[in-house]
Amino acid sequence: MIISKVDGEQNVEVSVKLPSEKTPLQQLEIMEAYTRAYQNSQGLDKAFREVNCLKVIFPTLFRSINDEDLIAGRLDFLPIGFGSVTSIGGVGHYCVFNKLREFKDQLDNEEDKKRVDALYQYWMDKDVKAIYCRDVLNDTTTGRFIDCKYPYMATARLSGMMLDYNKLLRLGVSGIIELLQSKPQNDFIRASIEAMKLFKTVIDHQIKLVDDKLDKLTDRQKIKDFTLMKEDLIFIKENKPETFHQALQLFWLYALCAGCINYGRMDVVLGPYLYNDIKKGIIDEDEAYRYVISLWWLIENRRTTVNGRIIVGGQGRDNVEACDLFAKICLRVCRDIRYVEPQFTFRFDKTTDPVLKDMAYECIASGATYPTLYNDDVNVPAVMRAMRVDRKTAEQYVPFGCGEFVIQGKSVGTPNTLLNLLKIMQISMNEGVDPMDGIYKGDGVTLKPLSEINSFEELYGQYNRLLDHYMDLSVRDQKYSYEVMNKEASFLFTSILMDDCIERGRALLDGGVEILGGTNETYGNINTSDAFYAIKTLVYDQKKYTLSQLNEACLKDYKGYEKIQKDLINVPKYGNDHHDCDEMANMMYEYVAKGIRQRGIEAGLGYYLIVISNNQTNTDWGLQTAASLDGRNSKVYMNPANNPQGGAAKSGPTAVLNSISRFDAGYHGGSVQNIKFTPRMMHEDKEKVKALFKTYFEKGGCQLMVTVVDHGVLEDAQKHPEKYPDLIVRVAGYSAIFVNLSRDIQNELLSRTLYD
Amino acid sequence: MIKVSNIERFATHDGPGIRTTVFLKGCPLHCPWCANPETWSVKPVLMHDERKCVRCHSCQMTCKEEAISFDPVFHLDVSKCTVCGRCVEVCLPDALSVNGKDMSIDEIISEIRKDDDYYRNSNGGVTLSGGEPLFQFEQSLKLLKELKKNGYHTALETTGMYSLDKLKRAEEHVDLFLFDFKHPDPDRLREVTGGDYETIVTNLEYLLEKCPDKVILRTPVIRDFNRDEVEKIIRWAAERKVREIDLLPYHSLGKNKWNDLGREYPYEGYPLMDKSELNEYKALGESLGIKVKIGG
Repeated sequence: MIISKVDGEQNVEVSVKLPSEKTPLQQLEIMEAYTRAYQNSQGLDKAFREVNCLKVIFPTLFRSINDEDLIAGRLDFLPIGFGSVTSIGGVGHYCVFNKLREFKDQLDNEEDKKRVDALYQYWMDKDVKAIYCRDVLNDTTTGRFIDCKYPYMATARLSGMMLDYNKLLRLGVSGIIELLQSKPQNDFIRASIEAMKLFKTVIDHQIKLVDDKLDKLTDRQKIKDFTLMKEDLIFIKENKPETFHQALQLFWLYALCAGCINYGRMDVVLGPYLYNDIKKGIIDEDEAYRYVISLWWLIENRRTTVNGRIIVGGQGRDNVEACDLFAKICLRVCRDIRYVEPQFTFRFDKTTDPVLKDMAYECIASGATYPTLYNDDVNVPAVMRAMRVDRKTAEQYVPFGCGEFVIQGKSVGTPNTLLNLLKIMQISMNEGVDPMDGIYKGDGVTLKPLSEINSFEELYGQYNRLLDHYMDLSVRDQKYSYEVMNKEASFLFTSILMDDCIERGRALLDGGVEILGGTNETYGNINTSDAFYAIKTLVYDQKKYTLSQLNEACLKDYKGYEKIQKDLINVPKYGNDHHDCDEMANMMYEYVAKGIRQRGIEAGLGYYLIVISNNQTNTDWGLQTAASLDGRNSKVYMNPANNPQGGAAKSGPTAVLNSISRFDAGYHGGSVQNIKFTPRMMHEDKEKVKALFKTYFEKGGCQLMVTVVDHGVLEDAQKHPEKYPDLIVRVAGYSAIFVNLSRDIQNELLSRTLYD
Repeated sequence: MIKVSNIERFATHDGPGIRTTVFLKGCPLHCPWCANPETWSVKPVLMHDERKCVRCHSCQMTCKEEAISFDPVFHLDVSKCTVCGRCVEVCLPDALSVNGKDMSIDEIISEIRKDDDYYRNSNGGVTLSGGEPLFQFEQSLKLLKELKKNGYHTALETTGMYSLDKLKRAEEHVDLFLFDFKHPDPDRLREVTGGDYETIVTNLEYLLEKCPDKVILRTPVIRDFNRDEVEKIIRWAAERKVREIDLLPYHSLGKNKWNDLGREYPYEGYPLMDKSELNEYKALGESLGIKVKIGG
């Protein structure tokens, strides 16, 4: 076992986590107890091993309730434990080795440190991700997520699970237990019942925590709030929730136990409860607003950086009036509160209430970066085709994380594979050698030297040949991630609220989930198509240079070849509404999108789709990617998501939006677009910007996210970070406080065109 | 062919809605605050951005006319330069560029067409600006006719400095005149801008008589030139039943272009004018029955 391969940074982490409430020694004891539970469950079914382990961390790891909370439920996690995603721990039974080492450094006592070492040794071949990585990673083609030396990264995680909370609220805890009891009993079902009983223990624990608070509180309003919290916890332990607050409370605690960090269509889940409460006079909108603020704060405090999706609006909602009522309250909160999470998301179509659209615009214009906008007129039909599902199913699409779609309560769509298309292009042009480090990464694919290539088609064909190979690896490894995760865990809490696990009596990845999908994050898409377009123009159309001349200049990072670099840069670029150049981007998009999708179908996955989303991997990967023939220098960020390379868009926002809206959304599983405006433009030219957005969406634009920032502000924030503690920017699939980002990421954001 | 300086898409300052503005070459005036001095000459002009120049002398070495020298900064002898563009080709940091190119009406229309959907959704259209957009009169007229034929809303950002006859021929193809009115004193106007008050006002009055709804007056407000005349201008306009006047507070966005053309910027060191400085005129306008807008 080569630990170095799986060890290290495993997710984008900009927001700093709150430290555990437990003392280091207590944390050590919990991790040891967890490990013992794991060991002692040898011989048991994985489902029972899981529930035994969960009993160690629940309810122990719940932390005390904050004085300002209106909903109970704050959960810590440790370097060893159980989870779904790397943003809060890891997947299945996990050990995050670098975090465990950091933890060890907090201990003074040598004996205690040895105890940590023992845990470290034990988990080296038990951590689910380590098991996967051991089998899949190698020294040439496939790297750990995030290890950017490779053209391809693979990981095991169960990201983006958005559960069917309606089912939970409709049945209540006891109802779920009864449902489970009514099914043919097997280990999965029996363990699920145990898990639900454990959930009741979690509720009991919350009641105790509320009691602890009530003893100390003197403020009348707070006593009232905590009394309600207690009453509602007692109620939902045995009964189906009846009020908005009860529904919110039950949903929240369950999401914590399931390790879910994306929540989904909360208007559909909570709207009807809110509507009833207001109709009956139980609460008013201001009271609801307080609860939603509390939810926002709880989500923010989980600090998952790229997650925390709350989605409102759009097609496929039964009670539109109730849903819109909830959406309006969320929009008020979004306007008033400056948090980087939740990633508040607004789905809409032509029939959406204009009042909601205006409220969304005002939030964006105020600089919130939220809501992110999703166009259902495009996305619903696109999801139908991409995932091969009916309209009713497609209407329940939800973007998670950085923008990948899943079907809420019905599909798994975790992005466990990632391709760097630009690196693959460079490897294809250099007989399999990555010019960045001189290492052969061709993996046996026949690649001719450039001197033997006689046409653009031949060059492009060679790239596609290598890309085909990497797509083959991707689908194999995506599937294998499910096999490994399934072998090790049942993901009980998740399975219980995912169709059709209970009916089938099978865990999520054991044949339980209705649609086992998956996604592949592609990077450098536009750099690659711009590079091919530049080659086509300069070598084959204008015959100004030979292919070898261009490649030689590129291999030298254009040092001494500045004229060639200038000529490459001056070739038209994607993002300027240039027909031929955009067509090249579209052709290459379709090749990779259809290639991945078809491989998924052939491999028997429900779907397997590329996502042109982005966290900051375009920058991280760019820093380890050699110079490219779009004129980009070595170690420079690549283009973000579906946007042009920074600085390449020079023809105004209509041009960039025209380029962006060209791709057929029916072949991807999510694609995100950024645009940057000044506050002046957003306010003074409001009607024009609205018309701009409207037209873009009519033309087939599927998504948009908007940063509003003034000239010079980002530059000044680099120089004087202390002056800008609240400056929020949209990186791509996440928003962040600008000054918390690394310099490289900041520079990439600065390179993007600002429209005024 | 028509000589074009630049085509700007999503132009939001030059008329209603989302527009594409075509900046045409050539201007009879020479306003010292001009934001587009590269459009004055109808011919292409070489521009040099000193901030990007690394003084490699590649341009000097490649120039067959010996128009370029360094002393130690870049210097261009305009009388020798033929604007052949060879120096631009070899300038690696892109400090050199040529402004002005010949375009056919079809080429311009096909560029404009790209944003048709945006115009439609915003009641926008096409603005011809410059320079003086009617300077290349016959070509501009063709362009205007072609635009109308294609159903575009057309606006003309104009100095008014041409014969009435030309205006009469162009008028029916223009939906909106953004008509510059810079100074009420004929001598001062001629002295500073080279404009002829009589010609301009004759044209303006013709339009106000013929199609008052198609006219918006525009006044760039410049300290030391017409800052003290603003009230007078508004009153003058109100008397003639102008429906709207836009006051454009002085900005220095043209400064770099002056430098790039090797000319001294006459307003070097002048502070930008804050929009709020002109707010007081809104009330004046209201009392006189004319809409006063600050900014374009």
